[in-house]
Amino acid sequence: MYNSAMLSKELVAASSVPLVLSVLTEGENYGYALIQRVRELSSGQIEWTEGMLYPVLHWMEKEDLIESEWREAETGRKRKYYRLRKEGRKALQAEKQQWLTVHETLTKLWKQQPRLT
Amino acid sequence: METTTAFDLNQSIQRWREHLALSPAFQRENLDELETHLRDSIASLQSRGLSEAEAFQIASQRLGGMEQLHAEFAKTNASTAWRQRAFWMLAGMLFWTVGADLISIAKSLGVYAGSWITTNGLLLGWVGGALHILTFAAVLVGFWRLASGQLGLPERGTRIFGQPKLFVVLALVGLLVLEAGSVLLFAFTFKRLNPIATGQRFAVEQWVAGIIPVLKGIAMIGGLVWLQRRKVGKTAGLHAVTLTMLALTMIAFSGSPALASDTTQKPTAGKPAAATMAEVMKLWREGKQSDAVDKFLAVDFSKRPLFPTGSVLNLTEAEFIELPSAARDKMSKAMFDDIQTIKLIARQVKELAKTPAKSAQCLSQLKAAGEAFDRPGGLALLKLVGQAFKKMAAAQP
Repeated sequence: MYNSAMLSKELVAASSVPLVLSVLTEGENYGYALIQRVRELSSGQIEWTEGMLYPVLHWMEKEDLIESEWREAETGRKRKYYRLRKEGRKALQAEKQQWLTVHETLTKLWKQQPRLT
Repeated sequence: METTTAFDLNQSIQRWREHLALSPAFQRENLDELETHLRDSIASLQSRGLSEAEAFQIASQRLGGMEQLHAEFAKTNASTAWRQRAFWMLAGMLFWTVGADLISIAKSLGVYAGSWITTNGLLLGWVGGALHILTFAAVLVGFWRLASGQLGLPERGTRIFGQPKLFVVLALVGLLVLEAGSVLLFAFTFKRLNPIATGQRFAVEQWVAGIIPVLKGIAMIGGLVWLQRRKVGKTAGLHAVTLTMLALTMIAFSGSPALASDTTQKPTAGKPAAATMAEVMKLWREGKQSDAVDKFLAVDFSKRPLFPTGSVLNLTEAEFIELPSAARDKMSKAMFDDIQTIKLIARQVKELAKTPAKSAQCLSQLKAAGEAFDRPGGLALLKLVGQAFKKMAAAQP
């Protein structure tokens, strides 16, 4: 687990909500494309069990962070598109703050003790 | 690399979807969403040169196993899963209530229409019974088509729940109209027929409709097996068949006594006593007394019923007492008239018995009539007449 750059299960779970919120700031999107986008940006380091994303999306929808709509794509295939809501933007701000806090703290620590591995 | 055995992508996806559908954690919409995802994933893998079978394999693996997905979806859908189940259960019950009303209405309509053609309660009972089974079958087919989505429900049907007030009003009014309709029609047909014909109608109808619980059972067992057919093996199917056979055997046994008691009311083959007795009474009232006596001597008192359909004399004492008082008053008059006529005829027969050539025949016929009238539980007044007849027959030298 720790010898690879792959995210641990716990971290995947914790980061899924801010990741989804962040990708959706680029515009509405559907599940499959969302996963592709995260994989692409993380160079394949963040690998989700794809089906697990949907319960997260549904939970976020219930919490009014995002909203969804079934629409037909150009290919004729019906897809469920997710869109950011006001609540979601607020939640993203809070998430951003928290992740940055963790990041800054860790960065400072690692600068003081560069040999830590 | 590519295998030579034919791989049907759509069929594989269908099977994958049905497998997931076994868990109540997935709603239809969830399955739609997952299927779209799977198809997107497969298409993307194929564009990178993978075969259909390989792409399906990898894509479904990436999506996650049934157990894993079920656990996660169940967390978010926990309350909706049982709410959906309860919704369909209640919807089903409401549907069957409506179905029962429709059956009752069809039956009453048929019997009501039939009562203008014939007042034969037995015949009308068969009409009612047949309509019961036909409407039941129609309701069953309707239910099946509805449940399997062939009628555009639940999409179209669930849309109305977006307007709860409209739904409540529509459903209540509809239900009230149906209930009132079935009750009123029932009352109308009841009024059209005399109590005996009504009794006969219900006896036959009840017997014919006795098959309904079995049909219902078979339909439900069949439905359950069909719905679970991917989960259960051949043994369950076998159990279903056994249960069905058992149910059929039970109905066959429970049905036969009902039929037997019913046939005692039916006119037996040959010249029925009721028809001859009707002629006897008619001739007497027309003043053709000797013709009436001759006819009386020809009545076969071993045949039932003794009196024409609808005659109060066919009732037992218990049935007579249970009649509504208005009907009883009306019928008492007819009863006294009829009994008076019978007594007068009997007196004439007794006179005729004095002729040596006719004596034996007259006496045995009086005795037979006496025994037939004095049946256990019979109308009290008729029993007295019967006893008098028997005494009369015995007293003659």
